[in-house]
Parts: sequence; C-alpha cells; structure tokens
Amino acid sequence: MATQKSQLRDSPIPVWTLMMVAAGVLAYVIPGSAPLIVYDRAAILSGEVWRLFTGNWVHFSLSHLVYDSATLGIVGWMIERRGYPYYKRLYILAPILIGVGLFAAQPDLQFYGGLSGMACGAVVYLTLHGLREDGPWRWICLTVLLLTSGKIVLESLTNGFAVVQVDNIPFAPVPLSHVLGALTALLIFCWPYVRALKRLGRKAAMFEFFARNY
Amino acid sequence: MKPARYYLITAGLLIVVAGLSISCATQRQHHNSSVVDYLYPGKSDPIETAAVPVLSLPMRVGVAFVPGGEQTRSGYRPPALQSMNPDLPEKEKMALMKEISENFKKYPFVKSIEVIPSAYLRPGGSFTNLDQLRTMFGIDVIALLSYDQIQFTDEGFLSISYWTLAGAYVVRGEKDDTNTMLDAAVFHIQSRKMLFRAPGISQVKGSATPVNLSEQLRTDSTASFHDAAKDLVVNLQEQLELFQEKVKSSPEEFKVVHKPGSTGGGGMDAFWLILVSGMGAYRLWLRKNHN
Repeated sequence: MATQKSQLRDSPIPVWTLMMVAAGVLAYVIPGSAPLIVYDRAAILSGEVWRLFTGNWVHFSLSHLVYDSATLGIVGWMIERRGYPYYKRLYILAPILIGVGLFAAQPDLQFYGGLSGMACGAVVYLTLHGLREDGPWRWICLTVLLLTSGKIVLESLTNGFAVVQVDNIPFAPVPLSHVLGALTALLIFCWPYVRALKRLGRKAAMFEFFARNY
Repeated sequence: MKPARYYLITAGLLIVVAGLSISCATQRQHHNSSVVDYLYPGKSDPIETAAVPVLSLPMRVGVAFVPGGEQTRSGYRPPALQSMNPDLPEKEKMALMKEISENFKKYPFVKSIEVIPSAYLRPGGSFTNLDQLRTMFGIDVIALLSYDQIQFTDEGFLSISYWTLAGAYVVRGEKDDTNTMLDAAVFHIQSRKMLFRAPGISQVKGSATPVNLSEQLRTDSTASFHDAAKDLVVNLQEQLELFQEKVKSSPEEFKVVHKPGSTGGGGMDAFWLILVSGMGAYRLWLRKNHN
C-alpha cells in the first residue's frame, strides 16, 4: 500500500477555506446583505439567479453560522493542509449544484441558507482522500465516512429530525443539501477516473485509478 | 308671408329643435357591485367583531368579484338605442382577475393565488359564503373585487348631421365618457378582518355613430376596466408595502406565523462538529509528535 503523503503539498494557510468562512460571516454581520443574496425561490424565478449560488453563505441565526462555519473551517483546513487536489472545484461546484438541485427538487422551499451542504461535501471529500492513506488516519476516515453516510441517509429518511424555531421562523433542516454536497465531493473525487475513462477505456481507467489510489 | 321670410322661420325652428334635441339627449348607464352589500346584506349597521388575524405564511390567496351587478339608466334615448349594456361578462372578470393576480405571485409570502369564478359567490353570501370558499379552495385570504362604472353618452354638435339620415351611419356624433372604479378589499377570512384595500380608477372618452354606439360603449367599458385594473395593481402594491410595515410595527394587531417547511437551511449540528473536531485534534496531535 503506497502512502500518498509524500505527494501532498503542505499549504500553511487555508486561503480558500478562510475565504468561504469569511464570506459567510460577512453576510451575517453586514446589515441588509442577507436579503440580497439568500436563496429566495420567488426572487430566483423573477431573474435573480445568483441567489442559487450565494444562498449558501446566508445563515439564519448565530448558532447556525457557528456550527456551519466551524465544521467547514476545520475540514477545509485539513483538506488544504493535506493538499488534496481539486478542492477549489468543490468550493465552486458544490454551492451551484446545491442551489440548482434544491430549486429543481424542492419547489416548496421558499428560503434556504447555510454552508452545511458545502461542509458536508468537504467532510466526504476529506474522508475519501483519507482512505488512500495508511495508518490510523485511514481508519478514522473510514469511520467518519460511514457515520457521515449513515447520518445523511437517516436525515433523508426522516426528512430532518425536527423543525427548529430560529428567530420565530420554523427552520426546517434540508437533508437534500447534504446529499448534494456529498455527491459533488464524490464526483470531484472520481474526476480523475472519469478523465482516464475517456482517455484509456474502462478497464485501463479502473486499473490506473486503483493503482494510483491504493 | 313672403317665401324668403317663411324659409328663414322654418330654418330657425329646425335649428332650435335640433339644438333642443342635442341638449336633451344625455344618457347615463351605471353598473356597480358592493363589498358591503355582499358581506353585510340587509344590515344598516354592519358590525362584525374581527379577531386578531393569524397570517400563516406563505398564504394561499383567493381573488373574486363580489356579486351584484346592479344596473341603472337615466336620460332619454331613441327606442332603437335603448338596449342596456349587460353587466361585466364572466370572461372579462376572469381576465381581469388573472391580470391582477399575475402581479402578486412574485411575493414570497404568497404561496398560490386562486381565481374564483362568480358562480361560487352568492349575492349577500356574507362570511358564511367566504368560509365555504375557504374550505373549497383552501385559501386563507381573499381579495374581493367590486366595481362602479358610469357611462355618459352625449350628442355632440356633429349629431345635427343625423337629419340627413346618412349622417347617422357615418358621422361620429355620439360622445361617450366612461368612468370606472375597481376596488380590492383584502380580507383574512378566518378572523373576518379587512387587512387592506386599494382602488383603481380610469376614465375613457370615445365617440361613435348612433348605429354602433352600443358596441362602442361595450368596447370603452372593457378598456376602462382594464385601465382601472392596471391602476389597481399599482395601488395594491403600495398598500401591500404599507401593510407589511404595519404588520411589523403592530404585532398586537396581526400575528404572523410561518408554515413549517417554507424556510429551510442546511444545518450542521454538534454531531458533525464533534466528529470533525476529533479529526482535527488527531491531525494536530500527529503533527506535534512528528515535530
């Protein structure tokens, strides 16, 4: 089993993760900014399509912001420190796919906000890459990946555990955003295989993918 | 009597008769319906105790024309022109309601707008009828539309040409003036409370030959209703803004609740945070030991 550690670049400052978290904090603290960028189905239908993307950075309460930002901050820091490839694509693609996916699949949802879809995607992305490393880290990542998958499935089956009151607004968890974030992570993780598939054909691509990863 | 003087007197009399016929030929048609007559029929002192409305957002809104269509007419018209324009046809009512409702679908607090045909509203049906509509259409709030339209028809100076008979077919000597007021009163059905109201007004002027006067009046009536509807939309939007402010500033008058599921968020919880914190702590510990 070949370790990947030597191939990984060590990035001292997780610039992209800090940018993502800072954008969420700014959207929360700057008065009047959230209504302009929140996922608002009616506004999107009237042409304000940027909300599909920017809604991910809006949070409805301080605890909502703290949980989402802290989770993304820690996971993003680890991804960037480990130098896992294509994480920038995750940060760009995940918000788009989450916004578009919610718009298409949940027409009843009028407002949406939160970085948790991205955070969930980042957890899946980190743990998938962790499976390629050896030692205890590999087993930690496997455990977290299984727990994360179990939690996403459970959330989807129960459609969120409860309706939480935030500032007098019944705040419904949206498990689909976690599913979409996780799927984006999986897609980006498998991206080299998809490229090799085009280039080399199915068998050779699979061989190359597993040879490179395990 | 000399022939010249005879012709002069005859011509003078004709002018006087024509002038009198012009001045006496004002006709007035009046169509109206009333929200008060619909909600409080036969009550001289319509007092209904309104409760504090609980606005459950996003709301399902109904739009309907109150029944009524009372028509009156005054003024002399020749027997051939005495047919009265009918009340606003149902097709026009539906078109107007759709025109108005299209402008309010964009609001996030409006979940759906139901256009309710007149057949579902009984004259003098009051809140009992509104409760039935609430059950039938699943609406929380209803915008009741009423109208008042007056059409005046006068004969202009050109009407003197009618004496030639051909003039009645080609000369547009009939001047008409159509004044319309559309009114929308928005009620929260369960609490019987009027939330806000807004008017839309319009004036349309036209002219016609006596032969197509009736047709012209119908055309002007429809055009005036559509103009009033446009004005109503603008005024309704203004009133809606004011109402939103009022709801915020007077929480004791209006209670707002949000239906579950309309607002959602991707939320991480303690489970995730503990999980990733553990991973982060392990990486830090590993780094410290390596160093």
